[in-house]
Amino acid sequence: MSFMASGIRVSYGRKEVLHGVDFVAQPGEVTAIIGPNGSGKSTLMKALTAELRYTGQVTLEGDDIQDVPAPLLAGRRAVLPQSVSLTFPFTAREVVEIGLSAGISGDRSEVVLQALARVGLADHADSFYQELSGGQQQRVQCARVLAQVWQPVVNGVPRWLLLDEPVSSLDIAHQVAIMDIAAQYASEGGGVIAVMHDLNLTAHYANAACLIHQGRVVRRGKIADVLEPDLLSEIYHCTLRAVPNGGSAPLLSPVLS
Amino acid sequence: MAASDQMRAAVGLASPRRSKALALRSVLLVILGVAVVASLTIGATGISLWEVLWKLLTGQELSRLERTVLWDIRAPRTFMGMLVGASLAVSGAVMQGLFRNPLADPGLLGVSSGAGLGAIFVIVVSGAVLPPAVLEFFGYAMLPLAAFVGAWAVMIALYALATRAGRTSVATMLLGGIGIAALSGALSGIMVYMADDIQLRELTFWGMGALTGATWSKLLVAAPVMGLATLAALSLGQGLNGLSMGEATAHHIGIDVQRLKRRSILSVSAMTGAAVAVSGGIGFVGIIVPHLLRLAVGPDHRTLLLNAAIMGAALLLFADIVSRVIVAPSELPIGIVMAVIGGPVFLWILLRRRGVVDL
Repeated sequence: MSFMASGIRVSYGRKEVLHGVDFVAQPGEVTAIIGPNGSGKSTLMKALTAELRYTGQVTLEGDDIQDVPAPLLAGRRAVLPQSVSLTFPFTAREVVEIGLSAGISGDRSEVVLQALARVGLADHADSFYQELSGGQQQRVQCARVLAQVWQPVVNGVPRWLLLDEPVSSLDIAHQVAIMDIAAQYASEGGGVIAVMHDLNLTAHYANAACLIHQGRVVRRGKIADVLEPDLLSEIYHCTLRAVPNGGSAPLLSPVLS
Repeated sequence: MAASDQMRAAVGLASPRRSKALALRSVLLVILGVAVVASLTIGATGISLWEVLWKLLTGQELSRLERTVLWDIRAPRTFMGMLVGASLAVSGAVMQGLFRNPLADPGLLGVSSGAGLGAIFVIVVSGAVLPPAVLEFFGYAMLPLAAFVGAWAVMIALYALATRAGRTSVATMLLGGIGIAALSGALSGIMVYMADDIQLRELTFWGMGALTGATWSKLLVAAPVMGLATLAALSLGQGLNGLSMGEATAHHIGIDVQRLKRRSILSVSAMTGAAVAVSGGIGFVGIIVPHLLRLAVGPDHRTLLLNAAIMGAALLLFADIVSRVIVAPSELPIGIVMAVIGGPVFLWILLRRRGVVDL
C-alpha cells in the first residue's frame, strides 16, 4: 500500500534532469518533495503523474500507473498542477464539477459545494473563475482536486492527493488552511505527496520528505531525518539554524549576516 | 453559503447555468419548429403548407405542382438546411473546445477550404485520373468522401502545427489556418483553371454556398454522414470541458485525451466535409452560434453541443428563407446572407465582451 517510484530518469531533449530517482510515499502521511529551484522536484511530480515520459517505474499500490486507464487512475489519485489556464468563462462551481468527470458516487453538487466550502470559497461558487484573484483560483483548483478523491479511503484502498506547490501563491492564512486540509486527508487514511518550497510549513505538516538536488535524491525518510540544518544549509547554499518546535521537526531559520 | 445554494445542494440540482441551458433547449426547439414550418411554406410559387395539410386531412388529391414543390424541392432543402446548420455549428463548438480557443471555426481555419479542395478535385480531376468503375461505385458518395478527406487532412495538419506539449498557440493556429486556406485556395484555383465549361458551371453552383441543389438522392449519402457525425460529436461534451483546463489536467481527471482528440478531429472532418460537399462554403455559423450560446448560458459543452446543433439548424433555415424571398423570384446565395448576418453579430459580440470576460 504505497506510491512508489524506482529508477526514474527523465530527459528534456538530450539533457537528463532526473538521474535514477527512487521515491516512496505511504498512505496516512504527508510526504514532501523538497529541494532548491531547478533541482527536479516538479519533474519528479510530473513523472509520478505520468505527465511526461520517463524510464523506470511508478507504481500505485503495486499497479504500474502506465497500465491503469485514465478514468480508473483518476478515481485513485488527483493532481494539482502548479498552474492551470482555463479557456472558457466557467464559474468556480463548474470548474470543480469538471474535476468529477471520472464519476463519484452520491450527490455531485453536494460534494462540489462542500469542497468549495473547505477552501473558504462557498460564497464564490457562481463567480467567474477568470475574475477571481490568483490565490482564489489556486484554492478553486484545490477544491477541484479534493472533490475528485473526496473520500480518503474507499473499500479499504487509500486515495492520493498529488500537489505541486499547493500554497505558492497563497497568503499565510490560506497556506495554513490548505496544509490543514492536506494533513487531515492524510490523518483520515489518504496519501498526500506535495512539492514544497517552504521548509517550515514542511517541518510542521509533513511526516516524511524526499530531498532532491541536481536530479538526485540526497536523502529521504522521516521528516526529522531529512530536515537537518547542516545538510540543508549545504544544499540550499544558505546557512540555516534549527529552532525547536515542540514535538514536531525543528523549524529552520536562515542566519542573516 | 447562500440559502438557494444550500437548497440546491440538498436536492441535488445542477448548477444554475445548467438548468438555464436545459430551459433554453426547449425554446430553441420551438424556434426550430417555426423555422421548419416557415421553410416548407415560404417560396416563389406561393403554395401554402396549410392548404396542402388541409387537403391531406380531408382526403383531397394534391396537384402535381404541389407534390413537386413540397416533396421534391422544399422538403429536401429544409432537411439539408437543418443538417448543414447543425453540422457547421457543432463543428465550430467542437473545434473551439479542441483548440481551447473561441476563434476556432471550420471556415476561419481552412477546414472548409480543405473540404472544398476535395470537392473540386472530384468535380474537375477525378474523371480523368480515377477509373470509371471507382467513380461509379462511389457515385454520389464521391463528393462528400473527398470533402471529408480534405477536411480531415487540414484538421490533422492544424493540430500538429498549433499544438505543442498539450498547449495551443493562438497565433500559430490562426496563421497556420490562413496558410492552409491559402494553399487549398491555390490548389483549387489551379483545378478551376483546368476545368472545362460544364465543370465550371457545376463548380459555380456548388461554390456559391447554396441549398438550391438539394435533392433526396444528394442527401442519401451526405445526410447520414452529417447526422451520425453530429450525434457522435454530442458525446464529446464532458471531455471537451476537461480539455478546457489543458491536456495534462484533462488526463488527470480521467479523460482519455488521445481518444478525445481523435474523435473530435474525425467528427469535425465528417460534419464539415459533408456540409461543404452539399452546400459549398457557408461561413460564420460555427463561430456565431457557440458564441451566442456561451454568452447566454455558459460554456458547458455537455449542453452547448446539442443547443448549438438546434440553433445552427434554425439559423440556417432562417438565412435560407431570407435568401429565397429578398430578391424573389431570384435567389441570393445563402453564403452571402450568412456573411451579412454573421459579420456584424460577430463584431458586436467582440465589442460587447471586450475587457469583461475573455471568451
